Amino acid sequence: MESVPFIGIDRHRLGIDGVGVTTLAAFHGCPLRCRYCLNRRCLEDPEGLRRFTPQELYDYVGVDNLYFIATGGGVCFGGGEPLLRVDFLTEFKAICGKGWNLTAETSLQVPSESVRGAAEVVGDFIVDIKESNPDIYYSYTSGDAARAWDNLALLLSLVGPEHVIVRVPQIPDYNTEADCDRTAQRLVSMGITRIDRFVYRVK
Amino acid sequence: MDMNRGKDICKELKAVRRQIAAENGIDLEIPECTYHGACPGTCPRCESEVRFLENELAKRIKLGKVATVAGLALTLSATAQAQDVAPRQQQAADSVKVERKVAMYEVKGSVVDEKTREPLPFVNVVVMRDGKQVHGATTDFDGNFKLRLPEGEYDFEIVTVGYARYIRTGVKVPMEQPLEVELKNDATPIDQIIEVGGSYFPIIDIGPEGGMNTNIQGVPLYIQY
Repeated sequence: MESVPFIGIDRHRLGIDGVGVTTLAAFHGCPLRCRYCLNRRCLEDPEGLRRFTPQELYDYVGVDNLYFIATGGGVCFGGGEPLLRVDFLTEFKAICGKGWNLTAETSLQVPSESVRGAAEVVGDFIVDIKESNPDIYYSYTSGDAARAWDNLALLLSLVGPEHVIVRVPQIPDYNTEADCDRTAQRLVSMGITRIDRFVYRVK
Repeated sequence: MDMNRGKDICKELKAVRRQIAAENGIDLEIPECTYHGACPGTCPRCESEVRFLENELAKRIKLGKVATVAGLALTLSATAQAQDVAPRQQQAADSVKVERKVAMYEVKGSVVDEKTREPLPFVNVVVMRDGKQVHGATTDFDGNFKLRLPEGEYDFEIVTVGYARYIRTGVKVPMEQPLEVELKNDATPIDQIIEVGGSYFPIIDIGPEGGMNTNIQGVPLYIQY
């Protein structure tokens, strides 16, 4: 497989990306255009970014193999949108085996086939669902809310709620606490049991 | 990276190395760090200790001995499972399957409003041990939560917007009865950091063009490279 660009690799994350010690590997490329994107580098020209094949990434992050095994951790793929790179994830999992847990931070703005493929190799999903109101969702991200929510339902059917954490941000000028309550209620009605809520304060 | 955060990470990783050494009878002296500058959580000395442990474990495997690593650091791991120990330098044929299983106990509880007795959904339950967060959960639509913990003593912190923080210390697991929590109404300003089971209800400072460092108690959310 050809190498793909990454905007960064962050080691020794404790309890942030799920269980144990994890390394975050952030892909370049994202289908959304969030107004307050935290990783804008993933939207810019990939020229100059470090590139890895699955084997090269394994060799690079494997320096923390002992911590991954001892703590039940592993690699968290983010970005950008990691589910745009399901082939990469699949090959990476084949290399690292069952000793490492893989996590994906995703907006689920991907084809449903990508969700199915990721569910085969990723152990836990951190879903940035943004909003349940489609107008607010589009206004903030320029994306289609229905696609994300349909994929969330598909993901739940494939991996179960115990492997899914959903993030619900309260974003000034876009949604309110009441909007977030509605989003959270919809998530609970779907069977989601793990919800993280954030508040953005824009300076 | 915030200096204190880096030191905290170093301390956690040092504890993991100590556990691995102790469990496998490896003589590894890990002195306390006296460096006072900015720390990313690791340094050449820390990295050399990891390489030493890997080499020692590889030697044991080659001699036909069991190498125990999986699930040792339970304060950072929710479950322990059978794992292959495969040090990075090893070929697959040299790895030895080891098992490490620890009994996990179900912990249940419920959260209600103290006055109305109404169940409170989406309340965050933070589980602490020795001052560090080890697990967390969120109440469901009926105000109930459930999680699994190894045997031991824990502190529970229950936090949600609009209610006073609730703390129950010295909770022994396995528990004889579910944890029943009554929260007192307390109007809390929304722009406060509130711990949410496993992560935080943080204030994320976003610059006018986006992409700004965020600070959840010193942890950056975007990649630094």
